[in-house]
Amino acid sequence: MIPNLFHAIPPGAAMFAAAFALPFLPSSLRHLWMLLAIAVSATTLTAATGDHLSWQVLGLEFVPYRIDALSFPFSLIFHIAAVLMVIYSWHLKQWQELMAQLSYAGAAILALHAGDLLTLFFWWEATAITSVFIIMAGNTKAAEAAAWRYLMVQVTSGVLLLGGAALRLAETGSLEFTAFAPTGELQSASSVLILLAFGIKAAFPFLNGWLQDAYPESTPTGTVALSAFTTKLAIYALLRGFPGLDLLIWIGAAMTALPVFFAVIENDLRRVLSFSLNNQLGFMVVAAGIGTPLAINGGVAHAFVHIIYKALLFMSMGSVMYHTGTTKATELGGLYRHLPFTMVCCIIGALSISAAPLFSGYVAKTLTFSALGDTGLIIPYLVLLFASAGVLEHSGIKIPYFTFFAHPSQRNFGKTPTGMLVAMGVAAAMCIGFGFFPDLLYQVLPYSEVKNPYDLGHVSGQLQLLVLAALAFVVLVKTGLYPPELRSVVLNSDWFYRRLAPCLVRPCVVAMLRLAVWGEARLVRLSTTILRASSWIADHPVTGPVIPGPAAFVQALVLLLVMIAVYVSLV
Amino acid sequence: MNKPTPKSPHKLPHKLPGGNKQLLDHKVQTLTLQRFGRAFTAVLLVVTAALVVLELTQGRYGEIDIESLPLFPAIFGFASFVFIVMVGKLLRKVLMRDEDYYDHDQYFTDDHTIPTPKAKPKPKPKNKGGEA
Repeated sequence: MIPNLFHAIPPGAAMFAAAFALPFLPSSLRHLWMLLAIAVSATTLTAATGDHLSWQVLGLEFVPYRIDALSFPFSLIFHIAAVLMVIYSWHLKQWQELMAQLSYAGAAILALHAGDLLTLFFWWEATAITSVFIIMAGNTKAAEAAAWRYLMVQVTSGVLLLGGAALRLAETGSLEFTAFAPTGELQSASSVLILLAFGIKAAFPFLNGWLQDAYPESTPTGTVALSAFTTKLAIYALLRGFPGLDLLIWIGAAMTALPVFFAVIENDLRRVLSFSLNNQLGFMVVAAGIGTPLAINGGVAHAFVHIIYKALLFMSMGSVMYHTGTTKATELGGLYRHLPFTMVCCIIGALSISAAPLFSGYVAKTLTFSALGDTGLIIPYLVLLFASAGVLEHSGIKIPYFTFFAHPSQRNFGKTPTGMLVAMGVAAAMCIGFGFFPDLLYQVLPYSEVKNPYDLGHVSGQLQLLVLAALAFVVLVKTGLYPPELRSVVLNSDWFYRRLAPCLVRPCVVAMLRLAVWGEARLVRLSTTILRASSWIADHPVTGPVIPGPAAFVQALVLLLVMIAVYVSLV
Repeated sequence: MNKPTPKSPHKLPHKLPGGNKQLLDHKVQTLTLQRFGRAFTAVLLVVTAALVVLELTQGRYGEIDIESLPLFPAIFGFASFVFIVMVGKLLRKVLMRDEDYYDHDQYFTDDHTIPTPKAKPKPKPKNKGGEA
């Protein structure tokens, strides 16, 4: 029973370990090695639910390998995303990025299977550190700067998680990774810290700047890897740690709506996709906030299909960037005849993310909408409906339109690497496959509660929303009201630590440093003066012979100190 | 003084390196794109008409009461899209900056040295007696 041998090793461990062998392998074997590592890791998914590995250390129980109905679908899709990532980057020769990709995917999968908070913290930070190298692979000054900012934010998330774990241990005596707000309210300091830690990685409103700042700075292949793991790990953590927390419904609703406005005016299309990613996370956060079995299924299903269609959209933009060196809307247009396959894949991704019937996004989103409808909360429901029109605007229309149409193109193109085409084709096929056969998706969900997405009411309502929103686009373009793309930067929440904080803090730091330099100079001068004075006193005794000065003075001083010490100890 | 407007990368220059062939190609592409646009609009109008007929003949229910109102998703989708674009246009005035907005660092130099305050320029002595 070969698979059983692997059941003692957590999924992802083989990938994480195999990543460190990549520098020593010839470039022709690296991708095969990566696929082999993913295959070995995937065999562990056949293990039964339960804790497969646990250690007692210092009276604490560590569970590095737990598998259950919630972690399984996430782990499965992470493995699929890792395979797509490897195929897409088949043309890549540099071991550095490949090593970062494989170790990042491995760490994320290991985090999914953590049964305690300290193990989760360890792999939580490992995903941060490994993914930093993927951003740095962008190999530009902007990418390096963004990577450092990204690391700062991610490590902050880890520190909050560690603090929350420590408080949790003090409060309950347990480190088990379980629901932290079972009553639907935050009742302890530990749960607040842990929610903040998860919220940073899930890109909550005003904690989201790192996502749009860092992801578009990576390489075409790197962004595909980044889009899959970190944020979905956070969604998994929220679904497990805070199901039914009402606050999340409102946070999620805000997450779906706010990025929509930023995406409209953003020029860099990979940044538009990052805003879109943020908006999609909002739907999953709402699902976590509702917390019913149907909603949890909706959140998991959405994360599952989202990883595929978002990767597909980033892959198509990566293909465009591979050829043109840019993804700025102002520089693109008319690529439909140069990159027809990429265009078709991009449109399939766009239809999926817009939740068009017969595509994967639709069969997942329907579950969350149904669950939200069951709660009777009207405002969040309307916000999500509004955000659905927003998704169509920025991902459904803006991305394909400004890339492949909009303007004539006079570019010359080379050949797209086969790996890129294969990965895009597979992802596109999956988007359609899950749309046509939703049961394939529903059978991996943690609960049995699902709804038929293809009843007339749902299909008709969704089509009305999308078609009329698309018609609004046509009207706005025809009337010249649709804003043209402009070369620009759009301020986001990272402005607070990129501009405001430096403006406020740096003058203080500079003033303190200047004060320190001034103080140090004064201290040096004072000590020199004291030494000179002591030398002068030693060389000029009031009575008696002149003894070589400093030595006698120091001895007298020591004697004095000893006498004082003895006196004090006696008293 | 008016700022010179940057050249659009999509605007056809009067003369292209490929000569007439490229100009013709540009014209053909423009016409093709216009044809795509017309086809897209036509498809949308046909589907809209079909959805309206379906709504009137079959009815439809929503997850919440207001969603069950006739053609609610259609009106809501159209209005939301227009609202998003219009608010986006307004937000540009608040949130949009030059591309190199974050490139300027006024406090620290690349070698991370502490900046020293600039010395005040000494006032020039007044020349009372001319050059001599």
